[in-house]
Amino acid sequence: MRAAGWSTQGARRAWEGYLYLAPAFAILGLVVAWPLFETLRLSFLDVYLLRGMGERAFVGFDNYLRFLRHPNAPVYVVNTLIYVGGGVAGTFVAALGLALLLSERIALRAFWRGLALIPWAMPITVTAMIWKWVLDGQWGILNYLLTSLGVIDGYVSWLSSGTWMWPAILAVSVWAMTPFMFVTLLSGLQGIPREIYEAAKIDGAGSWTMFWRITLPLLRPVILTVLLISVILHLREFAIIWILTGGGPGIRSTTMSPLVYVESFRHFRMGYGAAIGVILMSASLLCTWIYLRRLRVER
Amino acid sequence: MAGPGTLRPPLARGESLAVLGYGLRRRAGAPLRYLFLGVFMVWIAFPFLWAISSSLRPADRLFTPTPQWLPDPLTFENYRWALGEPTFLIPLKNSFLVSGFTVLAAVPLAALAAYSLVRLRYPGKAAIISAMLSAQMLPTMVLIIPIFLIYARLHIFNTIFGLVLASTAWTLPYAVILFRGFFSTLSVTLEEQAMVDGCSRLGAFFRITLPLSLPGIIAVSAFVFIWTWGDMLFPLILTKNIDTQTAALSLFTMMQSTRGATNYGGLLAAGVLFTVPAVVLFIAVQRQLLEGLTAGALKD
Repeated sequence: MRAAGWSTQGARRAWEGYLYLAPAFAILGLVVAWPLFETLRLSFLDVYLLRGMGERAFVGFDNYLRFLRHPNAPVYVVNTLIYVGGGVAGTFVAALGLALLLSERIALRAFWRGLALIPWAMPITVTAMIWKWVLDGQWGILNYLLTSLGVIDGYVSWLSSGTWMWPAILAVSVWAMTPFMFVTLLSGLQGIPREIYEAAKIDGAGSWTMFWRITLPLLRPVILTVLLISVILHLREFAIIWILTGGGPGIRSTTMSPLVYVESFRHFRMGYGAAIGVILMSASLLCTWIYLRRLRVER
Repeated sequence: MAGPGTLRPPLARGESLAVLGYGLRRRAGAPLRYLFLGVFMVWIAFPFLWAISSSLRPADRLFTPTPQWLPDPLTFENYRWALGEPTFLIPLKNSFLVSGFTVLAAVPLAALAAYSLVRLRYPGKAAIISAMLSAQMLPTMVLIIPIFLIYARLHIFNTIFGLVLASTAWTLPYAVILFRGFFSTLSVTLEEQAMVDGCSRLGAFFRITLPLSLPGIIAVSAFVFIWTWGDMLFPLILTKNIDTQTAALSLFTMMQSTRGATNYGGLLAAGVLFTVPAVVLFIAVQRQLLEGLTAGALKD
């Protein structure tokens, strides 16, 4: 029961509500909102840090045009598409497979679930470090295993080979990205009432039919949401690629996020870097917008 | 919105769902299922088990044409090296400082903001929540260009404070969303009772709501700590020397230096040591954390 008098103090409560939000929003304003605005502004300026911070000429859309006309621009875009497409698809298959397996009655289930989540807590630097050790071209255990099993003839430099670089990066990336999607899908699976399966079973449905006719359709909203989040996470991923390959060999594994880093903090062309960043951010915000709309519809 | 009872813990014990059907189990499905599980688990566990095994062997047994599965002779010399190496220890101390202070800053601010969103009525809430969710999705790399310039102007570039500030901002939205989920499962009655008894609203919040949401506080703290602990992007851009760098960055720097490349055993040992706090914390609070994380992603 609500005590009388409180509801009449609506104005005071609104004021109080905003007051409690204020400290959080002050920090978000300083480190998120202001930089967001500054990134947009920078993308229209010619800021070259080696020439000094003060000189900033307004150059209109020059930075954007420069990127769009750059001969390597298609390479960066294709790299990004490979990484996002391959990473999201790989993560989804691994996460759904794990979620299906670990929602069944299976021995030591709690232990396997915990183990499957360990990569989430591992610092990305360490993830990349141990994988680099496994994938090492000369001393890596993967080469040893695959040659002794007769899968490959000679040792492969996984992270610097044109053919194997993307599969290697994606294997590591999927390893790191799977846990979060796995728990989300798992909780989605647990939201499907058991009775539906039991009823279907009485009607003589096989497990394959049940998967396609019950599990997938009922899981669809969760799947769409995790796919959107995954696209956003892959679009912005920097550390995995940067630590594994440095974007190389050459620029062959440079996606948009490492490119923004190289242009802004290696070449110090911050206006140009910001313009590329805004292009990247537009793609990401489009996904965020769809994601928010979906949440609202579900509510 | 997540109300009482709608938060289903993903790791509930004894709860099973016949997703692939019972039929599969009766037929030849079971061995196949364990085979798939085995492949998944080897893929997940092998890299870090191999890293631990490699970190426990002497340098001359690390680079061998035929690898040994288990270290023989077993040695802790790599760990001794890591624990006596200032280029690892100083950043490790910084990691504790940055992650610890970020928890101290982000958790109370997030709790207060979430409390306001759950308990008080005012216009614009939906927009505020949408803004938080969007902020959390923004590409860090894009915003870090102006953050770097702003930090230089405010003279907080290359400071622990600067890292704490950035990490606080970056973990706040998610922390608010997590807290919101936890608070909305608590009944408002006790709080109102306390207010009738003369407690102020904030007093009721601190005396009634916060103590009741201790599992939530632990989960949010763990999330903030683990995120900050593992982040290497903010230190990469916002610091320039070892006095302020965190271990997530310095391990990367060590990997790139020739000394790190030749002493991979020491590097792996440092990596294992650096991972322990995050993984131990994660295992300790796994259930509470996952409950909130999935709820945060799926419900507004």
